[in-house]
Amino acid sequence: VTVGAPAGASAPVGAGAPVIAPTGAPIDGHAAQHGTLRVALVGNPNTGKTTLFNALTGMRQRVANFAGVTVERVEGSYRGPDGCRVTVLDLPGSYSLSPHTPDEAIALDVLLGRAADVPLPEVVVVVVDAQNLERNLFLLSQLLELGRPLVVALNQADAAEADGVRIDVVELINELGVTVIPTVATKGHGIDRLRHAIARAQGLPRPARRFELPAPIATAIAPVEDALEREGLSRPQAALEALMLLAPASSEFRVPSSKSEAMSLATRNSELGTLLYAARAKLSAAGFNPASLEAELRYQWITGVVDRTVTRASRHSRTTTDRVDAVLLHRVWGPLIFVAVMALMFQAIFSWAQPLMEGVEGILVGIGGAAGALLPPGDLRSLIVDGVIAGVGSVLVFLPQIAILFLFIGILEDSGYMARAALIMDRYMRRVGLHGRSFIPLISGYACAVPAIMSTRTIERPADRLATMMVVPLMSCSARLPVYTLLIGAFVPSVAVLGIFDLQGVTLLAMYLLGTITALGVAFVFRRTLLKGRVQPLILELPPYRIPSPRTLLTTVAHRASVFLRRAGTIILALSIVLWALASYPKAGPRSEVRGAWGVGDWQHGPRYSVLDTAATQV
Amino acid sequence: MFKHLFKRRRRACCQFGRADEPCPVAACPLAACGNGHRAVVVSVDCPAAEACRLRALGVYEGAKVAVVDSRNGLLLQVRGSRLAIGPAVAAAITVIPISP
Repeated sequence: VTVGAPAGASAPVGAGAPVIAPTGAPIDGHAAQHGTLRVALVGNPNTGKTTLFNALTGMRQRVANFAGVTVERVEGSYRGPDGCRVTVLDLPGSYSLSPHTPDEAIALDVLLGRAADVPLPEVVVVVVDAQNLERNLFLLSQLLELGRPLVVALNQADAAEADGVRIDVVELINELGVTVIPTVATKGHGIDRLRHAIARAQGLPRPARRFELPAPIATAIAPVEDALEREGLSRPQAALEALMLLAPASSEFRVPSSKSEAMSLATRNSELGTLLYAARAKLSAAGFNPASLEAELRYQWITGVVDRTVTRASRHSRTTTDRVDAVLLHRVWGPLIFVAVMALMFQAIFSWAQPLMEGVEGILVGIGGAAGALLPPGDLRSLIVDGVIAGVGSVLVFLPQIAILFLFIGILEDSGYMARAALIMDRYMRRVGLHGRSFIPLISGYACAVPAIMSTRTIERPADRLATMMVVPLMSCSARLPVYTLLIGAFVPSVAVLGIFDLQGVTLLAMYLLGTITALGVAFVFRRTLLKGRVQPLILELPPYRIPSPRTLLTTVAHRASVFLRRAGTIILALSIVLWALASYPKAGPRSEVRGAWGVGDWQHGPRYSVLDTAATQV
Repeated sequence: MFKHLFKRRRRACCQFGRADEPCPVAACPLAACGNGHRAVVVSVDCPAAEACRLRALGVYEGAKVAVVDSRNGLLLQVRGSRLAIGPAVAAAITVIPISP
């Protein structure tokens, strides 16, 4: 068996290459011989995929980026029931195999074995939300047609039961033709059975399309399928690809950031394009809408599957989510509760983190003092104490704030409130050319720009994300607070304003407002000049409310914090040493005392903040 | 007091008739449908990327959707999941309202 084109090879642009490329990696039973089994975890967003991933792999995880894109790549591993090592790759959540976001494009690339430096996974685990079976089956129906060994994890099985939804798992296995394991990832139920199913998946018959195309459709798209097969696709993959290509592709929002995108763009000018055009014309003449044909066919099949497998206690009962939404999305209470949640987050970042930050600072002063006492006075001591320890300290001191910020963002995301917050803010953010999802990063910018920029990853369109990243550093981060206080104390007199306010306090508020207004203004300007184009219209799934799992939250916070330490930490440390060197050399006798009071050397005061800010704008 | 606040406002379907009466209008933008209305999608005229996303989420030609809330943008119940769409998207989707 030959392996498909190496992932790093350039796409044959203009050659009419299909989205789905041939994949001929060795499959059966080879994994056991090599001692590792590669598993990819895929599913819709908000299905508890990450929780399931944590339950499968425990804390042995590695976070990196996919080559060339800023999509996070989380990998973990566990020892399988048959003793072989299983590595699990958590793919970004996707709604379908037609890629519309960088995240979805990466998921598709990996599933086809085309992503750079990611080998083709041997088993695909599809996480399906039992509470939301119908919608989740859409992606699953596409994945079945890839013909790869596949296991379905029917997650949140308990929540579905609580909602009065019963799913006949045996019948579902019958309908799908693959193993289905009910799981409750938050409680660890069904994980062992899932591991066994993964180990056995390669020995089972391959999944395939579960519905027949009506005769007129089949004849209309047969030439396209044949052409795709000539490109080297397997028969089922050609059939899947032909169906997906029927909807006209747009290049407007696509960034050819990945191979499948570049390849799908290439299809437009080829012989395949002509065939597609003919097929669409034939379908339209027969009374079908080619653009919606795939969705219609799949959902028609899904309706049948759901009818045969799902029984609902009462069809139109109001669920808990409905009742909570009635309050949280209420036109009066909704925004008020949102403001309260944000205020709580702010409060936590500024006050709750304070004792922790003081603790970290205390420890670092102790270490600095000890190092200073041990080392003889001179350049080495200065480098260690003022350069290295001060540099490490300037990063570590922000860790409590950053951890609390990520904990809050994690709670908001996992509970399902984040989508509601984006919905509430979308109207307002749209006026300055930002997306509803830009709001949380902007607010996080008050704490620290580095995690704020890291949290922009939930914004789908690159232009929207970039605009948010560009303005986040304009928000006054907490590190600027001591500088503001110092300058205000020195230059603004403490006089009463309007009887109750202090001019100093009002000035501080004005500084924060100035930053915020500048950020929004700059966003407005950016969207009309450098980052032209309309903001992505709002299409947002509101997931059911859930109690976040503490274990998942802790894992997420630990990951994000370690990424912060590695990414920002190294740059900040390097910059501190450079600044230390610039401040220390060449030696000029009496001026060094000035440095002692104000320069980088004294890491307990102002300048370390400017180092972090400089780094923040660059990270 | 709370009952009053949380009471759902039923708006006339396509600005004609009442929610519980068959709608006299053949087709209208989804944006014109009020709270509690159900409708069948006739066409999705968004740019291809959004149309494709909507179809994957269950808003395709021929699909039934229910409007849960129509105050800012639209809150839809589609195939058991809850979907929020902006006013621009809601205006680009044409539906035929059906009696609830």
